[in-house]
Amino acid sequence: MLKRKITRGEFLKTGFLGALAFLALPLLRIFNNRSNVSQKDARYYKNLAG
Amino acid sequence: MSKVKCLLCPRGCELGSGDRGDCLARMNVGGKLQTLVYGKPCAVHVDPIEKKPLFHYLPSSSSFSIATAGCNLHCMYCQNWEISQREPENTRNIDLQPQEVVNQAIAAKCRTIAYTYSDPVIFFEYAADTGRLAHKNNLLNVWVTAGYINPGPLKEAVSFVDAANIDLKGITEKFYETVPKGTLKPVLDTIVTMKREGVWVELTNLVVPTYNDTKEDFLRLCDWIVENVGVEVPLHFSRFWPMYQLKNLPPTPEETLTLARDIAISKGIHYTYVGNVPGHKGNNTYCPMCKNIVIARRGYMILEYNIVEDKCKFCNHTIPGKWQ
Ligand code: SF4
Repeated sequence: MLKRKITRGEFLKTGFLGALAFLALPLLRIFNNRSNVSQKDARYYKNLAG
Repeated sequence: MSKVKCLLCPRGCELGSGDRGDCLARMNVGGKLQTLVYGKPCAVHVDPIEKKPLFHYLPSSSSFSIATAGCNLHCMYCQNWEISQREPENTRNIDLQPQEVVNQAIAAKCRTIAYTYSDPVIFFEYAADTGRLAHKNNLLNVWVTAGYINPGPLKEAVSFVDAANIDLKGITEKFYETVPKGTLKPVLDTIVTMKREGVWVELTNLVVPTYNDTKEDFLRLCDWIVENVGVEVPLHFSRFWPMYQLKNLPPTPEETLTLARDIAISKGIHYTYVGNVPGHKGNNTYCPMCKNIVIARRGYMILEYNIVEDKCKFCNHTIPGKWQ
């Protein structure tokens, strides 16, 4: 069990970082220049027999 | 609304309105049979022609290779099942009309267009239009097919197909019923017709452990080839890799492929190859007269080339094929 009380400052700081990560993930996807072919698609488009 | 019957392949699907054929690529739309894949390939690549495999046809040239979704056979081991056993709406397709295929093939410096990966039979209209346009632009057409097609459309196909690798998957009706879920007879007829009509034909037999890998299988297959199309038709024994519904099986042992090749040679078949085993002596082409290596290969790569015009450099024996 957590003995110490979380201060208001700590609470806001953690919340702020969490929100930042939440927003940053989709932004990373937008700026990522990899193609949108899934790994599975990429595999079958590359390794077809014949 | 009345049913329509598709006459393209021996399945002869009778389709009610909105029904789709067994190949997943054709549909009865408002009483009319329609292809769902025209101009919509799901695979477009530039491959070495050796990958088809064609070993006696423009060696080391590039082949502009296309395929659409669907297939009229359902092999339990299909190596390309992700596209062949899917509806066209469940693959990633691009819009590539025949003229654009030809333009891209020319831009990629290809001498041939290969209709491959699934089966050109099920995208017949697209392959036919592209093939005719290809001829007008000095390109040749290569079909990689299971040969499961009716005589009518086949007659049309031989007018624009220049070379074909035809899968002779097994040599018994039982095998065709069990593994590809089709019938053997139409495939044999296709092989004979294409050869007779002047298409350059090579055959592939994918050797699957426990299904078509006995000595008797190889003997029967080779006997049929010798009797019906002759000893000069190249024959590729290809190694099976566990796939799709046959993941429980091991890959074909190298000894089985060597046995198959030895049997073919003992039956007098001149050009017998072992595929999917890089470094195997069956990757090479040997002159049937002087037994020297006329083309040394490792997989699809050509290491040595000893054919001058169409003759063995060592003994002047003619090696059949299209070399330039
Ligand atoms: S091509 Fe397709 S729709 Fe036509 S008969 Fe064959 S499986 Fe059926």
